[in-house]
Amino acid sequence: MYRYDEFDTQFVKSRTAQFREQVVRRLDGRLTEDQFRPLRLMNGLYLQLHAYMLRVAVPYGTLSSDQLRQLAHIGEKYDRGYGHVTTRQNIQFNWPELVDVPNILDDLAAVEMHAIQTSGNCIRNVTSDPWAGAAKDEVEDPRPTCELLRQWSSLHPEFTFLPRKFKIAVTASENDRAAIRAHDIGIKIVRNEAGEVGYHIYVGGGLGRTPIIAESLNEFVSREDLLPYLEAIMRVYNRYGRRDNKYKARIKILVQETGIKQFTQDVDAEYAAMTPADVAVGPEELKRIAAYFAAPKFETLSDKDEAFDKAVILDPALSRWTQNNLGQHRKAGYTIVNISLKPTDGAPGDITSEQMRAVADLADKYSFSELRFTHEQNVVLPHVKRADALAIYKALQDAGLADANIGKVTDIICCPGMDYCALATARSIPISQAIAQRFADPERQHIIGEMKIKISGCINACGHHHVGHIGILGLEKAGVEFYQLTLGGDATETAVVGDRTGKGLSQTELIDGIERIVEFYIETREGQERFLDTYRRVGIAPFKEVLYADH
Amino acid sequence: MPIINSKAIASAQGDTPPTMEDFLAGNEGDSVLLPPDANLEALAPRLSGLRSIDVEFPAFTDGRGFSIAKQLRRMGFEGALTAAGPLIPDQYVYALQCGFDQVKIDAETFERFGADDFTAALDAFSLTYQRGYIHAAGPSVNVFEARAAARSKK
Amino acid sequence: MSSLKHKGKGPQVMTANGLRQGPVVYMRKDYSWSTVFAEALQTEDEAIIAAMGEAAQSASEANLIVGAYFIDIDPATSEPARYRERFRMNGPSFDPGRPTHIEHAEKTGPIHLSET
Ligand code: SF4
Repeated sequence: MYRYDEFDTQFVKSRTAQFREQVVRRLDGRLTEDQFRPLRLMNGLYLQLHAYMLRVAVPYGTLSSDQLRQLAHIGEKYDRGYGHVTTRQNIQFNWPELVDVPNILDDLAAVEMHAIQTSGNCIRNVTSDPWAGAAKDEVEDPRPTCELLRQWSSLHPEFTFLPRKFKIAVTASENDRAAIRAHDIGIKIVRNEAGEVGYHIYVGGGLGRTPIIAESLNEFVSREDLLPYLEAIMRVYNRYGRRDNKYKARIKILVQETGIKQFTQDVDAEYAAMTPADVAVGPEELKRIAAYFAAPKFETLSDKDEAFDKAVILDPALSRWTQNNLGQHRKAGYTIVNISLKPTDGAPGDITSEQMRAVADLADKYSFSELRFTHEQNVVLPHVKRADALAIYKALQDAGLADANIGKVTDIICCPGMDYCALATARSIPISQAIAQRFADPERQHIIGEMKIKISGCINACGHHHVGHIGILGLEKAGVEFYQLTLGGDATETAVVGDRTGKGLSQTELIDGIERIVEFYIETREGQERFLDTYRRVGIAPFKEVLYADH
Repeated sequence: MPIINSKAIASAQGDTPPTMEDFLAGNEGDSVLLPPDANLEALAPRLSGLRSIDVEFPAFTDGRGFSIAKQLRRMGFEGALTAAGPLIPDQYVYALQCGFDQVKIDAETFERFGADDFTAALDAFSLTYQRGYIHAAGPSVNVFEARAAARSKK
Repeated sequence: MSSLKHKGKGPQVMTANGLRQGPVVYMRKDYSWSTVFAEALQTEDEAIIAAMGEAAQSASEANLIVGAYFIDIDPATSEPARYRERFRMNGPSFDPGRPTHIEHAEKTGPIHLSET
């Protein structure tokens, strides 16, 4: 993975020193809260419902075991012994004190981490495929591109006070595990007919109040042209994106209001007016960055492992874990271990400092010291020998991390909601817990198959509910929480915004209704159909009927 | 209004330049105040006759002016470029990096920070990752270019 | 910050967050601040409410607290009328063995609302 050189180190040092200074100025009153807010937000520091919250950037979700150990340390020393993995592959701490934050940033800098641009109206931490570098289906490892974008977007003098936040995601696979079309800019690494690798650029996606799936802007941008082309998009957005209404300020609204055709012309005109070579970064530098992501020294192995296969047959729990939590690695004899942060009784995405250390140890022992956070709020050990999977499973059991529910009905994406978030309209964690308990039986989960439930505690849609197979949005009326359902959403390469079912439901009605929807799907499905397939075949009407059956 | 540039702190400058509308309506004048949504194409034919341009920042959270500066410089404007609005010290550096020569801020903002905060902000960073945004008084080194230079030395 | 006026109905409580440490705080009847809702001054007296607004204003200017505002109290329960404020008062509903505000404060020492 990427390591800082002297410049990166100095840059982050300058940044932490600057923020320390800003905190001093805030505490002695030279900065008012109104002036401090955007500055602290650009360092990931929020003032939430109960306390400050610090969001730490995990660039494109990749981190080392040492970095995870440092996060464990920060959780213990400055917080309450845990962190929360977010839907943008970052980690946030719910209870830091303002006076400690400069020290936390120093601790982060010591392991080449920071909290730059995890909030604010700037280019946010770039997200990517959590299986990058390990996936069988990728054109190339997307992370060198992500790292280039991380550097290019860091404290961009021109694009740090945009109309609204700006999210970029990169994938290099046909199977989109990074939800790129739900982003302001989605980048798909592709190979053209001449065999050159370049970028298919999508623009104007986003969830929130007006969910929109990104449209194709340019089918092939060459490697050298990526930064100039992105700069052109950003400049058009910075100049013409709406600033009169917060809810219309994302680039998706600009693209909708201008029309993709005109918007493309505007970007092309801006691009034509610049000198791309003055913006681009040369091939030598791209090579330098890419070298950090060279594949680890894999052994030549066979995919057959009799001892493991036998153990799987004997232990149904292990068999389920193998089936659900292991992903296909590009090297024979290796596998991708997905660690679920979705226990039946916890908050989705929470991980204690102790668990962080346990996972870091596993990464050291079995996965070249490398880890990933996923946008589905889980953890990945990307490069594991199949032969080691059994030992890992046992260690995960000891750490309380052996839930075998990846991709299943209880692998729920869930934002913090009213329990922590100042913007929330309703709670989301208790809903996810109630669903997890209702469907706790692993056999039942297996029968249901692939199912993506996503929950947001308000219209901001951090829980991506619009693109959940079942999406849940928490709202409030006269002091009572209620929940609105969407069905048939999809965040992958076949992205689509789900359909609203209608009238909101109380928590009890919701959980019962979801159960009826799931039962109806099982009765109605044909052959190997997933929930999404059945939904697409029969449409919303019959699902609505069973959902509101008791009304 | 106090003006701050990388050389010295000048004090109040007399007149506010004419608005873009007024400027375009007349055919004289060598200074103009651009609104944040200025149509630069309309200004282009008159650009060579301009000695100074002020770009209005209605709020410090409104970053349109940074792009306007970038575009004006690209269009060949070489006169004095001023960011006019309640910019805070950290943005003063960004303004210089985008092509402004100075910022003109309101008295209240200026008083709250003081000249020292503005000049100190210049020292916060010596590096920038974006090509085309170095400034002698602030981030004077581009990281990518510095790496390339180090490579060619080897 | 503009002057702090309440727009609500019924008894009022003044709330904010501590600037240095961030906790939810409520104004006591001597205009000092507490992390415990039960210690909050509840009043409908307009003169006192005005004085609370001024006290909060000066506490903001003295960089002790941040984001002060009045909340409505339900006279029937003497608790915050708004649902969001009840959450701020009670802390997260999901709290698996984690310290509450108060336990945490005991562990880390008193909340500092002063300059030191
Ligand atoms: S969706 Fe709403 S409640 Fe949930 S984290 Fe985002 S802003 Fe907060």
